[in-house]
Amino acid sequence: MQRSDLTLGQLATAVGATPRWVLNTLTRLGVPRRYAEPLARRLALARTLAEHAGTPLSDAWALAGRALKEADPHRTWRHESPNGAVVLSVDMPRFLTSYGARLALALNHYGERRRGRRPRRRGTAVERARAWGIDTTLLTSALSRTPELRLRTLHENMEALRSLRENLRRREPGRPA
Amino acid sequence: MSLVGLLEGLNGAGVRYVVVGGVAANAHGSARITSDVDVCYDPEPENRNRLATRLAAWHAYLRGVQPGLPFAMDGRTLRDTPVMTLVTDEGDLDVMDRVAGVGEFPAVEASSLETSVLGVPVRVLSLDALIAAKRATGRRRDHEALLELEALREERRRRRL
Repeated sequence: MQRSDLTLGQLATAVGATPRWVLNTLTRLGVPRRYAEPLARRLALARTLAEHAGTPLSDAWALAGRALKEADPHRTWRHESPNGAVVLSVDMPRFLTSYGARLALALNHYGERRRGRRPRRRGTAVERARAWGIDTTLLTSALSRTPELRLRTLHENMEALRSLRENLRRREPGRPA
Repeated sequence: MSLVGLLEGLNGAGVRYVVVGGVAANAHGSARITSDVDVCYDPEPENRNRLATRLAAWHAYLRGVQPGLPFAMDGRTLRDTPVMTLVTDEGDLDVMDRVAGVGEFPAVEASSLETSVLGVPVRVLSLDALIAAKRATGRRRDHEALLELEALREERRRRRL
């Protein structure tokens, strides 16, 4: 997975931290601000190690880099201190599951909020919707049907769209007809 | 893979949930086509495990994330992640244990109505609660949906529906 198109907000969501924490941490660690997926993954693990194992952040960053490089993502990664007295183990599948869930949220823009003041309300709700370009006749038409019928129509529309997409995908070059 | 299949599967597994988001908006008269289903579930451990088992049977995976990343779909993952955006054998499904602007599951359930689709019973979030949720998220992409829902509410009140 090599995504380099994350925004700061998305990267912070994937890490499970605030944008301010990300910026401060990158400055402290002297890491360039290139908001890519591998950076999010390493920061997420470093944050987990710092929070739950009490590892200083700079050490956690180094350990996270090592773990992600060496570890089998489907197994637990173990790291021993030089004298073998301390053993750190990271459940990689569990870490990657929770990190992946946050990354999916970030990519689906769940955390993205509109900035600035809300626009002033003018006119009725229907007038505002019309001014925005919404076809309000579709709403009045929908209101003449029962909720059951509306959901049935949605179900049929979703089915039709899925079938349409399937058919188009089959016609894409390089795919068998 | 269908809306009905998804609801039947959740009902069949005994999952307590309320449909929120675009599908609920459609139930109230929204004209916007949606291709995913948003579900708010009761995070009580047994219900969470029932949902996780159902999702695992549907091969749920993280939507938008490249395949191959280890992903354990179980009650613990649901407990640790309040919102998940998934792709499943039954279609795209977002699951959450609370709805911003409405509250946790008991509040969501109290703000829902029972209806059905092709004979399959389903609870959907009320129009007022949907508006509160859209306002609370404050996302740019939700602005148009919010305007539409507010217009719908006004029209329904005018018609005394």
